[in-house]
Amino acid sequence: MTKKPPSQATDPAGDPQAPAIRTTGLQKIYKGFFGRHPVVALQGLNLEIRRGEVFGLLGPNGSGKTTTVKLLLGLIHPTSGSAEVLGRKPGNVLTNQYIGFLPEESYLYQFLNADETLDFYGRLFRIPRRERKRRIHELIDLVGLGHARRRAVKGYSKGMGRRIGLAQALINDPELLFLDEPTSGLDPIGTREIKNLILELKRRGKTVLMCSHLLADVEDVCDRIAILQKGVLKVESAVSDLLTVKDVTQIRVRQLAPDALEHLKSILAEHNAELVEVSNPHSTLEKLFLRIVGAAPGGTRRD
Amino acid sequence: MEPAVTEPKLRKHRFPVIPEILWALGVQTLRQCIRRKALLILVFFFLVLLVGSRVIPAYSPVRRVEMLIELSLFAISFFGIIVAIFLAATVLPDDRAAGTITTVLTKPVGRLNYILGRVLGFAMTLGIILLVMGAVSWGFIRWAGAAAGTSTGRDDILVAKRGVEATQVQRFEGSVQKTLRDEAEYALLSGPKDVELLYWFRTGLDRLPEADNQTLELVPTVATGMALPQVEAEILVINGDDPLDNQPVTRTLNSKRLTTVSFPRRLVHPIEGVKVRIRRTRSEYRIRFDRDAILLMVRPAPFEWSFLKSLVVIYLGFLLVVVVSITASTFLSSWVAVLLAFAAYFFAEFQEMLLDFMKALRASAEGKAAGLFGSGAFNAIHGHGHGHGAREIVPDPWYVLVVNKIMYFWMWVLTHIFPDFNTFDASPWLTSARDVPWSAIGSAAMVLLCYGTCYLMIGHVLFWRRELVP
Repeated sequence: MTKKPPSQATDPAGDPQAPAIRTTGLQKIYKGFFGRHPVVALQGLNLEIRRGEVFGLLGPNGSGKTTTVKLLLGLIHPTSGSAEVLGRKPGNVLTNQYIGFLPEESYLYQFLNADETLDFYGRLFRIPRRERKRRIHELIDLVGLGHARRRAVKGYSKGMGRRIGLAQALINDPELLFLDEPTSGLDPIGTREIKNLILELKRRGKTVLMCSHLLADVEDVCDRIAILQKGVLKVESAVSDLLTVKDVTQIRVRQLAPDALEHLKSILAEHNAELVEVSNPHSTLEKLFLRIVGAAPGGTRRD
Repeated sequence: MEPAVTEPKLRKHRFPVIPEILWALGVQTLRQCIRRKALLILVFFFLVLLVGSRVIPAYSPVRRVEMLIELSLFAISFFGIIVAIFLAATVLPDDRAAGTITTVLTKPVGRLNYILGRVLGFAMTLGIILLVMGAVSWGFIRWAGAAAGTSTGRDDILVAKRGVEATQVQRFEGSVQKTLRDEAEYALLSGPKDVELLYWFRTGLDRLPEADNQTLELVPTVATGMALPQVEAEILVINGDDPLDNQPVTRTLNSKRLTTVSFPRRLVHPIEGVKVRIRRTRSEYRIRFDRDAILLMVRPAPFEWSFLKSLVVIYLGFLLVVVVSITASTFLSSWVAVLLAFAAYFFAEFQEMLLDFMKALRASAEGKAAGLFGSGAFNAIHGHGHGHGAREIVPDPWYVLVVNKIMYFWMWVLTHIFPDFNTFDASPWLTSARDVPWSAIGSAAMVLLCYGTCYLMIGHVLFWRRELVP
């Protein structure tokens, strides 16, 4: 479709030195019928996602996260600006070989079952038959759908749809994974499993671009994040940089006697440090839930 | 979750069209069509055929079978085209609306492969539907043929003896071979004098020359190489069951030469053709014949074979409908695409009629002939040409001409962007028991190839850069 520069022809996965994703001045304006009621979905997005990192795209509803992903996948075309995915133009068939995509909602063929779904997508990658079978087996176990593999997707719950959607995105063991709201509709255990999976993919050197408005998810797994609002990039930085409160020092102690606390306070006063808070930490509800449900026998694979 | 440890091997693409991907999409589409219950149409088809075979009036047993052939061919192409349009025009827009297309097109598929894979899938679906419908029709036709005492298109032509009921009289085509098997037939040539045979000829009436006198050719030939005795016979052409005032002619039937009998055109019955009664009047010799020794005419096309060929022609038409529907669905929503595909089919099917209409329209508008909406109607209203004698044809005023020109132009466009769908109709051959010529299949294939390629190119261009927002 598009003419490739000669340097790209040598490595099918694209220029290994190039960033996984680079956009320059990416803009998208949705136009209505005969160009009426234009909506600016994305404005001048400059983004660079390095290989091997987990990048989080945050923003409220309608901030342009999904638009960005669709532009990067070549499903829609930018009004102006350009994007590069694995060193090639978005939507390139060669690039798609190395990409996995989990859409915002699990768009699935309702009349297929889990096995057939994965088989179909595997065939589109021309994975040889025996390998495809093995791969499908692995992925169905991975996303915990072993009990429902022969059931039509039509009857799946939203969480199960998410799981099969994720398996579908992983069928080709992609170098670059686009996850649009990966944890929506999942129970906390499923959410935790997906987060662990993302971390595992990162450990294996894959690049993940993840869209979400669930901040806890992003915080747990992303190396860097960008926050979009009304199509404009507000912040782009490493998560640790953004969230560290540099002028506050936290000391966490187990079983501290009240006398010792008084002593500590006096030491702090000696150093002219302002004591902000002394409290017993809360566990998160997520941890509590995982502790209770995760401990129950057979409770980890429910949907 | 334990991570997947294996990495699948991925093969590289070398060509824009990849057979494996086409096959994957084709199988997927077939599965989609079947699970959308497209095969239910077969039930309707079966019902139509069942009711039709009961309702067909019994003009004559032969005509009944013919009408059943016509009905089943019509039903096959009617139901097939409905299925083709409803599937092919809706699957792509539905795929787009449901968002599933995004998961497919973000795989290394490419949009051309996607469209072609879909075409392949619909081709497979329609192939299955056509085969089932064909088999069912074949069964019905055979059954009706057996019930009527005829066996359609087979070379054993029934010969009725004197006084035998009409149900046992069989059609005898202009291109039919007759093997004499019956004792009575041997008797005609060698037996006692009073044997009378009745043959039923139904040469395609529409193809009879306009001349007033029709000719019937009788060619007794000998299959075994044995010389046939000369047999003098009285030949009488009968209109239906009615001898009218026709006089029998006496001819010598001889294997060495063609025996022709002329008869006036009025003897051709509009439905049943002509009947010929042959009665031997005099025999010089008395010879024993081997079985199957005497052939009266040329062998007809075996029904199965020409039926199969006509199914192929119909199938090519289905493929064209699929391609048109997919092309429409690349830029339209499903229901609009369905409507457009039906409109296209309409213009393709009734092209001949529309072209005639157009010509009449144009001629009348230009004042060359009294016509439909042209000078005739207009002048009648405005009282221009109401002289008592021969009416004078006056050209219409300019605005009528302009409207006519615009209509003509659109008619012209519509009848030219779609091929003549009669190319995909083989029933004329089949119902007249003639073999469907290879040229019919060839021309259907050529039309499909030329038009189909053009439509697909248009569809691809429209779909190639289309934004996929569910």
